Amino acid sequence: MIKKLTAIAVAFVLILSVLSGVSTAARSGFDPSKVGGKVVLTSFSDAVTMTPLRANDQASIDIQGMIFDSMVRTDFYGQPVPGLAQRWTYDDKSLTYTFYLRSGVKWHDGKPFTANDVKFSFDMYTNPKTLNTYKADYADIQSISVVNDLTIKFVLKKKNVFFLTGPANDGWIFPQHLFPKGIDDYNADNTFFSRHPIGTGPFMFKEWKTDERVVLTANKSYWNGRPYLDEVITRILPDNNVEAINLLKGDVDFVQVIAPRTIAQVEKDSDLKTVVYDYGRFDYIGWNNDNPLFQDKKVRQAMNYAMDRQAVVSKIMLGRAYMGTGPMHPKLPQENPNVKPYPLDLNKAAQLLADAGWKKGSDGILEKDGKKFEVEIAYNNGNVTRPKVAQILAQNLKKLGIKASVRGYEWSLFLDKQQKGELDMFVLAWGGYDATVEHFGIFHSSAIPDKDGKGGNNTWHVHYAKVDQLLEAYLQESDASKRIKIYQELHAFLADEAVAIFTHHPKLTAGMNKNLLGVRIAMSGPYFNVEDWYWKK
Amino acid sequence: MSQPNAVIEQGMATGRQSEWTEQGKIETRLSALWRRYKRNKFAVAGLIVFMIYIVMAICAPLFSHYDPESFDMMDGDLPPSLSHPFGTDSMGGDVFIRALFGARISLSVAIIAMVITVTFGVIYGAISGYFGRVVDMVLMRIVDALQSIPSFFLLLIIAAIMVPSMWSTIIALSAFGWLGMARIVRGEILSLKQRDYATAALVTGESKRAIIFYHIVPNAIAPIIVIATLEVAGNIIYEATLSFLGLGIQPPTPSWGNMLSSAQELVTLTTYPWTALFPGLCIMIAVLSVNFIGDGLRDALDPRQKNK
Amino acid sequence: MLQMIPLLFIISIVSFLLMTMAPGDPTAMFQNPESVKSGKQDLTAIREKLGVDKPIYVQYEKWMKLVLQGDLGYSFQDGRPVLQKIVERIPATLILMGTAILISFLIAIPIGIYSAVRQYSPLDNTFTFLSFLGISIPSFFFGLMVMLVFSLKLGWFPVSNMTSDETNLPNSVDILYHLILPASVLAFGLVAQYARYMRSSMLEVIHQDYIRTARAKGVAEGKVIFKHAVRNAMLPIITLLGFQLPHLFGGALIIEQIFAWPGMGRLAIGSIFVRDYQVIMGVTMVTALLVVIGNLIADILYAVVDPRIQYGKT
Repeated sequence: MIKKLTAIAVAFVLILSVLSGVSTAARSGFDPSKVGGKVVLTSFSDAVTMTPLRANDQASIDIQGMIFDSMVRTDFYGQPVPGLAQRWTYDDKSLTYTFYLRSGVKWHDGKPFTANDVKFSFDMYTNPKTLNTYKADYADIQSISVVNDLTIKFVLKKKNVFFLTGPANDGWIFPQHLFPKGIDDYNADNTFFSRHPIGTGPFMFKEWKTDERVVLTANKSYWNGRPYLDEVITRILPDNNVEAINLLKGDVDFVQVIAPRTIAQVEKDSDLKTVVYDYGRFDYIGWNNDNPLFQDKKVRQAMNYAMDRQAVVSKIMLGRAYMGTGPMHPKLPQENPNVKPYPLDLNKAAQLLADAGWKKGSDGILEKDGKKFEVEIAYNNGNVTRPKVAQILAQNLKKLGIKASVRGYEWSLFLDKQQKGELDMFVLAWGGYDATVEHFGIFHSSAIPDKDGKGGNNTWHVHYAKVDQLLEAYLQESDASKRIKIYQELHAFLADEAVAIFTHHPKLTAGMNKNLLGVRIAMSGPYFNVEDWYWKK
Repeated sequence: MSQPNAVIEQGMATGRQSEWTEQGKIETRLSALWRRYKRNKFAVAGLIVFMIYIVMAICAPLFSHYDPESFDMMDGDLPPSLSHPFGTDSMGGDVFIRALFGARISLSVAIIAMVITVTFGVIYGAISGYFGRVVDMVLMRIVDALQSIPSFFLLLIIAAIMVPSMWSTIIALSAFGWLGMARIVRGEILSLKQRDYATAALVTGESKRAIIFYHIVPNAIAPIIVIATLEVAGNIIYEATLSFLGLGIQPPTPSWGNMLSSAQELVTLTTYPWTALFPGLCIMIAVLSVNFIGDGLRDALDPRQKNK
Repeated sequence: MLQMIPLLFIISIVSFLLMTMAPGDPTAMFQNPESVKSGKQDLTAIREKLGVDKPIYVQYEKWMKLVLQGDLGYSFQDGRPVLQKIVERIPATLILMGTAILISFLIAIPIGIYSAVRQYSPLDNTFTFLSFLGISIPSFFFGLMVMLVFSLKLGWFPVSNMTSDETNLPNSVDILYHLILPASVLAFGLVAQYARYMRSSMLEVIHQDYIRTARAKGVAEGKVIFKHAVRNAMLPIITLLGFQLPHLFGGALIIEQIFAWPGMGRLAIGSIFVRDYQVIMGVTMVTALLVVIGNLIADILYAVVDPRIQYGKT
């Protein structure tokens, strides 16, 4: 009996200590013998700025993510877990979140972290003058009030079931004391802070050599225990091959994505290992659904029947991918298991096109109302798989009598044309999501960009009353299982309407030094737990 | 693009003139030229190789009934064999056939761009050189300005403006290539127009246009030919470089440049080297042979060596 | 000297027109349609801040006014002063180009001299062949090959960047170590030009009267070649160098990209791809200026080497 009580008491104390996240203590399972060493990561381009949410290039985001913390973190499965806030409460009636912050957290410069910093950061994100490119994310916040140094209240304008994993997780907290002029300092470019950031995160900024590297060092007084690594270096290597050569030579320790065909080479190397991981992403060939060519559902379905998804998966991705059925990832509950990928069936495609009124002309090219069926499949330069995906489709379309060509665009041109709806077809992907995914911004009719390319990212011009309604309902539904049902319905609907060719969901392969341990890669990104990475001794 | 130009620029006008006029008949000139040309073994080899290239390119459809743009993913990365003499690339395209048809595109681009460059450069340079004074100053300032811009940056922009195709590549290559030509032709003209026959023509009342194009330009032909040849070599390389940056001719249409740059994946180079090797060799041999031809022509056209 | 000003003015107009004519959106760099976040982006404030919605002449006027005050403006991308971004990278490019030119001169001049003196000898033929090889391989391909062999297979040289993450070597040695591969690749393409140029220049000089006279007088052959001929044959090469600089920048750009060398070329190519107008203009103007100055230096050097020419008269 006494034994049992002791056990309960011990368990209780343990739970308590975990809940309160005693700031001086190391995280559970911390093993001091793992401490030490540096790891070299890579990035294709140099970071732009270290001021949170002022840039959205991958390098800036990845590095900022190691320097800054947010109130709420997400775990491996995308569920909210305590970050700078050790707990929180929600009142549904008043739409109010109350966050109770960790005590004793210090900025990298030694100043104490308080609720005022949190309020300040969110004030910057929501300020009408803000240059935060994601300000729409924060539009649901009505007001923020500091209760005391360690308590802060957020009142929302309307219900948002993703508030914890959305703004509270994405909104990095930065130090008020380094932004004396408030929004002007936040909006200012090239400030001292933007090149020498101070955060509360597991790593502290050390050095930034333009176009060469960014160096971070361990924050030894991190509230969750210091990271095992002493240093994280991000090297800027603007070329796939060069990145791979650096990895093979041992100059780089971790490459987050290895091109499918290079994997074998990396695996042959006895000093390296690879890790295959599911990345929350879908790859697709899209088009403007308002384009007269694609207004007929039969034509859109024909396009789907003409796509050889099997070749993409087995020949281009070398088996490291799932065939695509829609925008939901097969490893996530939102995917509707009843939706099957369109098989390659050129006869059916031809039939559908004929039903839609496309007849072969004298030159063998399909015609309707005197107009020839002619498409250009666009992709962005520098990508190694997309030109191949485009060529597979183009070859099959040619067999159907469609005049199809492929073209690589440089990125800014590609985006410009895509936003304006001027690309016939485009090969693209959307990713970095986990179970908390929501597709409002790419499928809701309100997000369709106008002719000048302003407005939103529903660049495929999907507009159905039903889709809008499902997307809206999903954001309001607090019951997780009902929410999932809503997206399964959406999935089935989009697949049947064939709004795009969903080609595949890649399984990505990271390559790393075989002695680098502790790496866990979440669906939302590879640097999910950098503080737990360590070197085998 | 005008990299070889300067090589020729200096010293060609002097002396050559006397030779042309002294030796008289065209046949003698040509045979004298050939006699000197064939002394350079590399130049002869280059000429033969380049002729073979041209013939192959023209006759490409005779060698194959395959469509160079078709591919079968199931046949990717096959090593060279009887059915695929150069192997297949990662998409399953036949490297031999693609290289063959690539020759048509790459050589056409190089040669057409050269013709445009030469035509425009000669007209521009001749006008500038013949009229002199204000015309010359204005025209040459423009050339100066354009030459001071790192042309490669602008080339990138030009290539980005247009739909990448054979013609956009040609335009991108010609856009700055004519500058060097214009400068050299102008220099030649300046020295040639002082000569007797130009003055004589002027006295007999011929129009300036006639004087420029019937009397002066033909006499400046030697350096023009040499530069033009070298320009072809440079253009082949530039076409490949544009492809490397994604601004060249788009696959599946084959060009040597896009074949080589799409074989840049590390694994291709180490495991399936033929995909890079054959287009690489095609480029290398073509450029080498053209350069040798140019080199041979320079020596042959250079009168100072006639007695050697 | 003064004619440089209208020259730079013309350059600025041509570049600005070409640049703004090119399609593409300067705010593209603030978008990422592949990210989950993309649905929520709002770029209106950024468009306004950059002023890219204004007509071209307004943008040009605004830019020109800044330039006249000695300011090249601010990068669209990160808001840093363009001048600062350029100054940061100029040393890297100059080191790379300078070394490449030096290497190629050291190789090309002797080859050129030998080839001229022993025209059509077996060794001349070999040199000819090798030097032509240098301009027959696209540099992006050759660079990668060199990297595969010397860095990956043999492990002699580092693969990328200009400095090591961590090293015991002094900074200059470390840079030199990183410099060898890219500079050699760049030089490989230049040797041919300089060697051929030197050869034809020598050939011309050798056949001139004063050389014949010197020979006839019984001056030793070596002395004739090195004292008289070489010095005069060097003259045109110096001019060539000056007016070749812009092409060198182009060549360095590819090499910088492949070897991840933090120079101007990468800045240029990066800013062209994201349509960072301010940086493109800045880079173009600064390079144009460098080229003009390069030409000037070439002129002066020319005068130094050749006492007959006095600078200012031509």
